Amino acid sequence: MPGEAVRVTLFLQYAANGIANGFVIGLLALSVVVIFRSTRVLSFAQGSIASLSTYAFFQMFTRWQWPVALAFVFAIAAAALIGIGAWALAMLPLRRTDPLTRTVATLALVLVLQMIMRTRWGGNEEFIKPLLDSRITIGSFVIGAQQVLIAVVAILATSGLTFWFRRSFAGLALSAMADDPSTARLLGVNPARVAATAWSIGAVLGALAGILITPLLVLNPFQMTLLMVTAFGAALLGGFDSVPLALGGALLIGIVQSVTTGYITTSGFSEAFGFIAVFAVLLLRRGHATSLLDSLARETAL
Amino acid sequence: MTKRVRFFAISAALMLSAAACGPRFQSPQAQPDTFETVSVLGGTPSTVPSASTTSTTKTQLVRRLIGSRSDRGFKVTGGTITIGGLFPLSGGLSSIGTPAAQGAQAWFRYVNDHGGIEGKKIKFIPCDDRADDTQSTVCAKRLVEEEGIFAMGPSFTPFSETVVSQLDSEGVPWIGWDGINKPGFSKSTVVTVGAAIEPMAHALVPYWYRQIEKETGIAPKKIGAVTLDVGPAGTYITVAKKYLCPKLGCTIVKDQRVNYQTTEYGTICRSMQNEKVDTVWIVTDPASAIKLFTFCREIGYKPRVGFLGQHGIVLDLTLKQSGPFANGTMANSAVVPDTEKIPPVNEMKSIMRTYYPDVSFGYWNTLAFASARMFTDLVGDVLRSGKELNRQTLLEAAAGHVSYDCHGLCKDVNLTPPMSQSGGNHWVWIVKAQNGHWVKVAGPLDAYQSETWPCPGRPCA
Repeated sequence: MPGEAVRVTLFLQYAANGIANGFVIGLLALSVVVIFRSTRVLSFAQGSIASLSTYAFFQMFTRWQWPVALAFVFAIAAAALIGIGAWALAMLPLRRTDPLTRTVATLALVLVLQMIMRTRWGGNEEFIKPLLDSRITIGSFVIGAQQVLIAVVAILATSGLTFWFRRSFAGLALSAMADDPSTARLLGVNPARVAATAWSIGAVLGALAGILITPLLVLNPFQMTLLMVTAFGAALLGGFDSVPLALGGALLIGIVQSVTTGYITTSGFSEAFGFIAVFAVLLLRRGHATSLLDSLARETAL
Repeated sequence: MTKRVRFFAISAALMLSAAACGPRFQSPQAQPDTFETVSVLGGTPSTVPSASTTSTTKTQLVRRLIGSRSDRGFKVTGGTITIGGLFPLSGGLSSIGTPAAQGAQAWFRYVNDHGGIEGKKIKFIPCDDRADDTQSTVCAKRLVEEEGIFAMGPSFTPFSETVVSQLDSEGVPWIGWDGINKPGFSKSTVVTVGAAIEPMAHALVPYWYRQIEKETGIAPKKIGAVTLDVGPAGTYITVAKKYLCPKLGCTIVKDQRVNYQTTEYGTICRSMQNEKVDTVWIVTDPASAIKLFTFCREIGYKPRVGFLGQHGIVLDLTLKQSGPFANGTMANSAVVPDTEKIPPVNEMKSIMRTYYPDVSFGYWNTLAFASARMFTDLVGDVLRSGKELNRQTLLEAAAGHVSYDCHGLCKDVNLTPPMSQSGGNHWVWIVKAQNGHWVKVAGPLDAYQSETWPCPGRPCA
């Protein structure tokens, strides 16, 4: 039985290691959900926006040696501006087109943003030192403080976002615009302002993900875009509407990827297994669990 | 109206995409701080057909009919020697490719700034192959056919399986190749001062094993490997499983493969801890090594005898980012470690810093610098002998160096191609991570004299 306990502990440890990654994927997924929910545009540019915001943080924190808090605040502010800029340059001119057209335009945005990053910072890999360098021990569990920070920030951001969406006029306007644009306009909701706000929030969420995970990985123009692929899987689980389901999907992917890495030594398996987990859940939605998940999605939609 | 708008939107998106992919010849702006005075090729595989589709027979036929375009660089008649280089200047291996390119470029610029080689200037054109075989062949094709290079010069392109054969079939010498893969060592057109992985592994692992045994009194029996999922890294593991461990008495208990997208290093560290391995052998690029060090430090895990590395992570950057946690990590180098306080190293550093003040030193740019210097040595040999400088005389000049020492940066390298027969470079230095630097602890060791080398005293067939 002690052997069994060790195995269980190890499994839990692997799962715990996947949670931080899951939260990062979750933040990226939420950035997609926020924009989709408000504008019906599936933004493929969130990874690149996150990378650009992280480069801004890197420039201030690593290159200019600003204090971390100051660099963080300015990078988040820059992210909000990048989001608004992306909307103004890529979405506003296409505001009378259908969402599919605007979705395609976000692909162009990805490439333009990557070109900007490559031109300004080059294609080299850059590194950001961890914001927290200690570790936390709970029983036999040891986890890095940076990973805990990621989880805390992601939970706070998600809770704050949900509260804001449900309790504030601006938040309700975002949901109203998606549900019934005509009525929302009659009630005085400005669609342009709603879209700009959604893009801005989406960019901030992406920036949080990038700034928090990059110290554990590397910074290059593509890293966050690669993570976005996984984030889309998570957002898909929530039907691109539900914050908790998207976050849950992201955690599922993060945990499955981590556990898979712990038991399978071949590279590439973990990435694939994360998606397999999502597809399995999606298949379930077609069957017995459909009503449960659908009602969950409806109830937890923004 | 909507359809028209959609059409224009999609057209605009496609145009933006094409623009974002960059011009066919990528300008130096992608590496603004790296190459100020030379053109850097890179770019769009889709716009140029792959060289691999061009058969040798077809090339020969075209040569006979109209004279091969690649023969444009067959001999040097003017005052400029145009050579190419392949480096991953962007993407997953750029942390190695960029300093390597800087090392070669620094030497060529230094030579040009001091009058050239017998009055001839070097025009070095590095191409960004992104460590991608397809892009390498595209780069090589462009360099040969469009730039008309005389030869391929110092390069770092370890994952390009086809480019060596491609250039060999075109008769283009590759002087300063560093690709690690076996084909390069067996071609009569390839000359390198870099060592193959086999001798490096046979020098590193037995030395490390005996050293640990001596220091701790317990031999490191269980090795956990974290291996970048590419051929050259896999060769280290294959050699260890086939020759090193059976002879020494160790076992690779876990061979965890990773790629550039791998993020689960926390789990990898944890699984190594669970396996109770004596060491974690980091057979990756610097960036992956940094991620591994970062996550293992995060969870407070260090194996019993610390980490073992290999030449792929011997770069200041690796240790600068990993901090003291990486101290004690042992690795190998086929050239003199850059931390040695000897005149050849001091001279190299001084030249490199002249052109690239922020350069990160390590195995790769020392090797590239030495390779560039070898190139100019061979060209100088030909020119001073009064012979015509052509591809054949260049290779003949290489064959004249059976004990080349890279002006103090390498030892006793037989430059006669093919290197697999002549032996090439089989001298290895052992370095250890100490407070942000790779410091020499042993060497040069003759890999052919290693207790595990299967063909004692000579290269294996």
